[in-house]
Amino acid sequence: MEGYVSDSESPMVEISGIGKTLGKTVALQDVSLSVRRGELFGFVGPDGAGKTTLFRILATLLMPDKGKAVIDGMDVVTDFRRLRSRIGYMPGRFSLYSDLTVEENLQFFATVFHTTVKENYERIRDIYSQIEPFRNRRVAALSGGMKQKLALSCALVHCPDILLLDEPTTGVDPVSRREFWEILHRLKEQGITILVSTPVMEDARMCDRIAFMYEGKIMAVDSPDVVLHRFRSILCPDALDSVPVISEEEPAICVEGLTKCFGDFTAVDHISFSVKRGEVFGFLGANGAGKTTAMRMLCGLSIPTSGKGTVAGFDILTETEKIKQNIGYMSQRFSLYDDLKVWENIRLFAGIYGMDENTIRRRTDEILEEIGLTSERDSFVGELPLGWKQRLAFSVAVFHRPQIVFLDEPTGGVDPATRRQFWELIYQTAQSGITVFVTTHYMDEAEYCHRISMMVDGKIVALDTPDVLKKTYGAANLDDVFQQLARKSVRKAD
Amino acid sequence: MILKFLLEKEFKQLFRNSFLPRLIVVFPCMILLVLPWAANLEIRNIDLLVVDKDCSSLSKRFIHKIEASDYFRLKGISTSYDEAILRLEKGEADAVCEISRQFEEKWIRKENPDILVVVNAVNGTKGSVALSYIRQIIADYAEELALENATSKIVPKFTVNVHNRYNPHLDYKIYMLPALMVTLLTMLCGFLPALNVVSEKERGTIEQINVTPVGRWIFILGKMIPYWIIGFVVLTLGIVLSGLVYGLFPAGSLVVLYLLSIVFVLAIAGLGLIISNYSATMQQAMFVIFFCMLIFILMSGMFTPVESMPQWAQFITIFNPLKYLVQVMRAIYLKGAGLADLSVQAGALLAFATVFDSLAVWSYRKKS
Repeated sequence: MEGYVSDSESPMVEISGIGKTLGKTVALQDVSLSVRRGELFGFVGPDGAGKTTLFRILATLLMPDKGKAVIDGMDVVTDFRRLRSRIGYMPGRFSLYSDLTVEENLQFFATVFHTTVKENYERIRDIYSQIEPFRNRRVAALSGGMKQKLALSCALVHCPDILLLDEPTTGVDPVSRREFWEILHRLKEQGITILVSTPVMEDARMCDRIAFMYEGKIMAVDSPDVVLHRFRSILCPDALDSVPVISEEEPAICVEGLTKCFGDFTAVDHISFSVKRGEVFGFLGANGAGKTTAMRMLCGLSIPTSGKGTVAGFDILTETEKIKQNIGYMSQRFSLYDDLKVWENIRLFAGIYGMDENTIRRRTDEILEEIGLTSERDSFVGELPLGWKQRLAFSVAVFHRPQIVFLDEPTGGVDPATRRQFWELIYQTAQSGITVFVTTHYMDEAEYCHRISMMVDGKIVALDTPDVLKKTYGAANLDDVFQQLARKSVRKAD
Repeated sequence: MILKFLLEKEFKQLFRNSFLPRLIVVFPCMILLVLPWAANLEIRNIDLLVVDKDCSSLSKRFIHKIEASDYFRLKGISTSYDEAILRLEKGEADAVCEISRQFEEKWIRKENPDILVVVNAVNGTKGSVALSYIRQIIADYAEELALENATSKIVPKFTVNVHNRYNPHLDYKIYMLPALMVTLLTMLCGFLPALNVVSEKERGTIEQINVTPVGRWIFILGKMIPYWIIGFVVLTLGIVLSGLVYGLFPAGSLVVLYLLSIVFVLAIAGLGLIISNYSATMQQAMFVIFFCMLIFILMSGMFTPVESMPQWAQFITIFNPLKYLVQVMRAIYLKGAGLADLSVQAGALLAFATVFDSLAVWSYRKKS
């Protein structure tokens, strides 16, 4: 780096007065900040704060309306060709080809940047060696954590000086998340500047400095501790507490030896547990541990290979349609209709569950009032921020007053305050007697559950209240419990 | 009851789509206004070269007769056969007609004068049609000359009277229009429901439906009925357009026409839904549907008569729902056929609708 002394002191990223309007919404307003060379810089803020727009501008994919952004002396608008070979960009949704193998993906991205995997192997070895044993496997068959590592390898294969990572840890379990941050720190030591956005505050604490974005504006740039303290009402809300209203009638869910095999792979391996009525039950596990498969069996979407059980008092093998009448379900992929209005979505699903017009009309108003979306009644669902969509999807799932509601990672990708609001809704629902069955990757949310189960490699390895689990494993928080249990997994490496 | 809510949703989504409602109107207009002119198998404007080696008054008269015909465009008269063949090879002419030396002389000597006709038979139909037109002209000419020379002798002559039934002016457009309406119904009512279901799969919304107690029949009906109605609209549009633009009205009963078309729509939409149930992605569904439609359309007798296909190909067409509707449309439009005349076709269409729709319901899986 001799001869570039002055360069190494100039900032790596210099953003001044950037503004961008997307359609009718103002995505960014007068954003200015600078990132030092070799810094690990984080962006936090709620969904729709403008993080992704800013990343896309820096990645030269979007032109700013106003202002100027310079990366390593190159303007993102005029110098974009030269700049592109220096940037590694990892978009929020993995941009991998799921029909290609691990190795083919990597080679493809290397070729696009006129280089070879061999040439830059040193740079990616640290990460790629962890997934290399599966280089002939198709990406579609990888777990979330492995996809994330591959995506990072692909972003690094052309030896960029700066990495732009847009919510890389959304939908990734705590163990993989911790490993990911270890990797980022090692990359930082190699002198790479890293810009990363995240809705998770544990992630934010791992950065050198963070910027808090809100409604398209930068509210503060400082060390994580300072920012998190200053905006703690939004970023670190107080914990929630509730006492379960548990009835001692027959359990809401009771399964024995539930198993699901795909070919010779056993996704769910003889799990047995029961959930009491009125309980908020947390169903935890690493990516690929079999949570979603187990949940799909309980909802009657997937037929068990063996085992028996009841949900809401109905047999999961023979009475799936009756189960469906008595449960609500909210999937990890948001699945209301984007091209229908808020009230139309509610009406559709209420109608499918056989509710009559008058009840629907009356309850729609009540529900919208409850979740604070009365003013959005006539908005198209596709135009709502993610956090609102999630609240709406939840309300739709419990609109017909089911006995049990299943929530599959309901709060992925939103900030702590929004998540907390969501949990207030969950508690209200539980208080009214509906059993809540929820999967999550956020350990602060796991603390909110009355009881949690921990799944590793298709089996349930622990099941109790959060407090008892912490005591048993001598851990300060549930994250530690999770790390201890999940690290025993053999499937993760598989 | 549940069906009402599902239909409400489908129609709202349909009308909010910025593209589909327009497609449903523009597509029939395009097909019916443009294609009848293009999908035309009548052969006219055959480019002809004449090699006149005789240069006599008889050969000149012959050339005039050719020039006067609608079917030929005289591209030139040359004296060299080789030159004419060269131009044929270059594609400047479709046929060459050589009038031999001593054409007139032989005629006067009551010998048989020779005319050589060379046609480009790459397009077999065009070649043979060109040949038969020239033969016709030659025969007429020979007869004309014979009459002139017959002085007082009475030459007996056959008079052929032709009645073209059903399509008196042999207008190809009138033959194609009813068949094109079948294409329309197939494309819109077969493609659209399939793509609709696959897009719900891709977006993940079908998962939310599958976890509800909605029945399989109800779900499939909810997808089918909107396309049924679209089929109805498209057909009406087609009938009105061909009446206004081409003055073609069905000779037979409109009720039968609608009835059988609606049965057909049920069958073809069912097929689309079956394909969508087995496809994971839009790409897959598109490709399979395209494959099916191409075969169905080409083997329906729409462009080429089924009767002139080889035996095994005729056998395949038994399983082609399009074939029956094409027959129905043409029979009602041109011959004024009634339901009694079309009982075979009606039975076949009903069978297709029953089988395809049952399969569509059966293959839609709410759980895996």
